[in-house]
Amino acid sequence: MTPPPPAAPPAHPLIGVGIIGSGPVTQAIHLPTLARLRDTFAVRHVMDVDPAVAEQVAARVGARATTDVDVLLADPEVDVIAVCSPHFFHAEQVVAACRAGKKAVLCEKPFATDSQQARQIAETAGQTGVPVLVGAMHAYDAGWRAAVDSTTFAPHTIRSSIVLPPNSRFEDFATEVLHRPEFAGPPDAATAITNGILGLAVHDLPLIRELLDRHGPDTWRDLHVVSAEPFAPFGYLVVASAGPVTIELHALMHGGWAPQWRLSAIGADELLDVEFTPSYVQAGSATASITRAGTTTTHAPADYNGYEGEWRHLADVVRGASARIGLEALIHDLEFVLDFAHQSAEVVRTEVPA
Amino acid sequence: MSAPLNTPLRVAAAEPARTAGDVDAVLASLPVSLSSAGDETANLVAIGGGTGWGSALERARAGGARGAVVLSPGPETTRTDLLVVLDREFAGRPGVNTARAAVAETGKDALLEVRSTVAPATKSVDVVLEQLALVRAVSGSPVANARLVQGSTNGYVVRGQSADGREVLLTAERTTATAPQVTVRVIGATCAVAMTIPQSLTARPMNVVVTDSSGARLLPTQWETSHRAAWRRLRDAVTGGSVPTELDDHVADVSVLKSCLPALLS
Repeated sequence: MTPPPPAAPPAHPLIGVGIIGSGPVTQAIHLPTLARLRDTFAVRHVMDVDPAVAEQVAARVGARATTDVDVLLADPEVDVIAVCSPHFFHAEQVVAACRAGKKAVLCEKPFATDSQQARQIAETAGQTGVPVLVGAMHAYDAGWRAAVDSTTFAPHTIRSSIVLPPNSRFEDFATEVLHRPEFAGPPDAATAITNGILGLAVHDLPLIRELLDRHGPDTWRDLHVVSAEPFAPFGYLVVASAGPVTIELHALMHGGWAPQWRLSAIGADELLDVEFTPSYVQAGSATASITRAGTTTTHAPADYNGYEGEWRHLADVVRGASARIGLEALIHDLEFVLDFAHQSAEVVRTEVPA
Repeated sequence: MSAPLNTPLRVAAAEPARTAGDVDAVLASLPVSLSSAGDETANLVAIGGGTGWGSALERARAGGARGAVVLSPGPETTRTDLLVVLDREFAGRPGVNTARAAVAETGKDALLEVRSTVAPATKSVDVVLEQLALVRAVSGSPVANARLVQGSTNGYVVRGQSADGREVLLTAERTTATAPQVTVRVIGATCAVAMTIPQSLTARPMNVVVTDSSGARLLPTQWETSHRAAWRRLRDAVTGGSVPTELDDHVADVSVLKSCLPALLS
């Protein structure tokens, strides 16, 4: 019998991945996503401050485990770094990854906690030539991208409406999570609204900023939060304006099972509606539609979600493509998010409810 | 719904109420209950809700009418001995009443959101009066206080509370992209109700979807315009049913509008 011909070598060598932080986001989002991209990526090294979590998560993918970021960064088999640690470590770790000479860095949102940190990252990335991407899943959602690229209208109203069951419902569809963080108890109202914007609205605010750009590149700087209130147990209602645009952000986490995550943009003669799939599950991209003069054009969903879109784009960048979202845009996105959170917290501190 | 076997009530409808309220089609669909008055004295009168509708009610009463349907009444108020039903394009859909029991299941902590997509020329006052009536219709409790959070030529955002303590959000946006419609969402801890209410140009039904721990269910559809439902209510009232309170409800809503949302009156 003639032996089968040897398998053709892959078009590109596998890209080695090092992951900093092994909590639920790594376990329920990034590892299942990377498992769908086995021809492109291989997880080589996993870090967590808890050695047992690092060991067990690394063992799932046959990677090495460490509790030391420097050990992971020094691993020559690690080409790209995913920063999935708590927010306040992001900037320091992204800078360290750039200085370690990695091929690219994917940092979970937000990639810094203030614009000074963000500019420090940009400076380091510029000096080292290491591309930095931010894990903003909706910005890489193929459904959103297809719809927004098919129209040029400038909306007068933008609404982000998020109704979600607790995250654990979706994490449990995606994986078996080790070591869930404990709920710290209800924060004060200003902290609650800040957490809501940095935790949920942050996914849509870069998209909203992109739509605001249609009224001029600095329209987002004209942000004015006119009303903000937290909803128990977790949620918010924020109303703002930016130039001629009214922005509504709603979020409610409830005890039901049905999620609905919708971004809508309304113009004088056009509507954009984007219905996103829940985070964590591999349920493909958003379904997006444009309506003009009573006729609706729907973009069928792609078979990969925004997280996978991030990793696919990261592979392209490692192979020489330009980052779709440049560092200056990432800094503006961060400043927009932080301004939204800051103004909303200030309003909560001073506003008398209706 | 069975029709009463008696002499049809005579209906008079002058323009523009006749066309705007689709009165001819209503009479054709309730032929046992109602007929055109022609040259005879009318039992029932259709009145347009523009400026002066209160005076028109008095003229109808003086002319011998027993009841009237007022089509989308504006922010004036009046009292009368006539039996009066208000024909509201969205709040008057019969499916709204069907949804009320489901809305009660969402609990008083649920957020009630009414979102209107309207044509550019639509007056804010007409939109918000429709929304106030909708809140009352779906929840059984009127809006007790409200404030304008944001308003522009493109729409508005209003926050408020109903008399029974429910949080209320009213929004409107103007566009030509799609036909006018209203969506209502009531989101509770474990139960949610979502309604999509089309215009009453046809009997295309509103959809009511109730989502709870057992799944999501579409409530039975009702293929009836708000116009026909209004005339049925008036027929029932005139033939011995309960006296409608819609005029009193309108007076209360206008009072909230004038005291809390004066900027939307123009």
